[in-house]
Amino acid sequence: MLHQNQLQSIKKYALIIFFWLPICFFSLLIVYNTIPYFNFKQDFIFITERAVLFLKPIYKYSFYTHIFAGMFCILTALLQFSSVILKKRKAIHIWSGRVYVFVVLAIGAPTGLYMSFFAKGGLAEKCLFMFMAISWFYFTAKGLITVLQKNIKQHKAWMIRSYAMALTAVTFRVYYIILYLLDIELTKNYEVSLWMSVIGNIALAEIIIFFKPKQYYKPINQIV
Amino acid sequence: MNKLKVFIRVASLAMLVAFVFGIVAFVKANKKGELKNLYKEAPIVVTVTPPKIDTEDFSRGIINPVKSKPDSMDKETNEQPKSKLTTAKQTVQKKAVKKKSLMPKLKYPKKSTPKIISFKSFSRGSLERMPIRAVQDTVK
Repeated sequence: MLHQNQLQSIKKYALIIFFWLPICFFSLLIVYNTIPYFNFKQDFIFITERAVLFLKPIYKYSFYTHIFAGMFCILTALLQFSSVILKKRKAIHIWSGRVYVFVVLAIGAPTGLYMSFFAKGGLAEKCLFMFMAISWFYFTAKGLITVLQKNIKQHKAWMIRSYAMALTAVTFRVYYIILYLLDIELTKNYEVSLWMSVIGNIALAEIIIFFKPKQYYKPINQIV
Repeated sequence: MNKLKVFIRVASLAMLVAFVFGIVAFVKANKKGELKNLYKEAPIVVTVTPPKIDTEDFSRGIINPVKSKPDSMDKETNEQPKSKLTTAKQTVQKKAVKKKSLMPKLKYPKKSTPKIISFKSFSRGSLERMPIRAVQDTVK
């Protein structure tokens, strides 16, 4: 019994150290790197690369709205999976969840969908960005509907999928830097990182949903 | 529940509008042929160097006359020594031609630059600072 408890606590700490800590660090790094964009200068590499696109007002406004929404989305999502917050401060979970859902459905996904038509890469990458925006919208909407139907199991599953799509922003950058250090040509690197981040995140989300213990899907007040 | 339905419908409408706007903009850009040039590698920077004028040039004579050159120099510029005196404009043009021939050596120093990863690299933008495509010396 003691041995089992020890094993569980090791698993718990390993999850925190190797999963949640890197996610928190990179998520906060994205937010930190996004803030300077709001001085609206054009000297960022991302913008100079897309100088022609930034001449289009709709694209420009979509971009700034998207990254503004993205910051809130990433920050609020970090609070959603904490069992401590769920148990002790449920109001935080509810309110940050509302912000997340609003930001994704009303701002993040529509602007992302518009920008996907001009995404870097070939037609396949454009379609992938489109898929990301639509699936992100769909997963989040399903998560919202199921929680209002008090179907907690489905709510958790859909929200894991939604968060997996949101996290493609993080995982893409990680792969992008790793492949860059492995001397892969930049355009190819961009495309490969993009596919890896989307497929990898979806696969990981499905694995997590499949292997989570049944107890996880019970409402928090029913967990002993 | 009603509020939720309205919200989801509005959000779905936003998605639809974004999709339609995207298609319209994409088709327009495609017709104009802009799609190929959306992601340009580097801006062209043109520097202007004024011709040098010495104090000796402050005369009625030709400014900056070129004295007789050895044949090897003329071969480099692919020009025959037609006349021994040329105008300053011509000399500057010759220099520009010379520098243009050297330009491929200046372009894209690929492997020589070390890979520097900083916190700012954590972005969707290019990881390498784009090289300035060409530096041309021209006279206006």
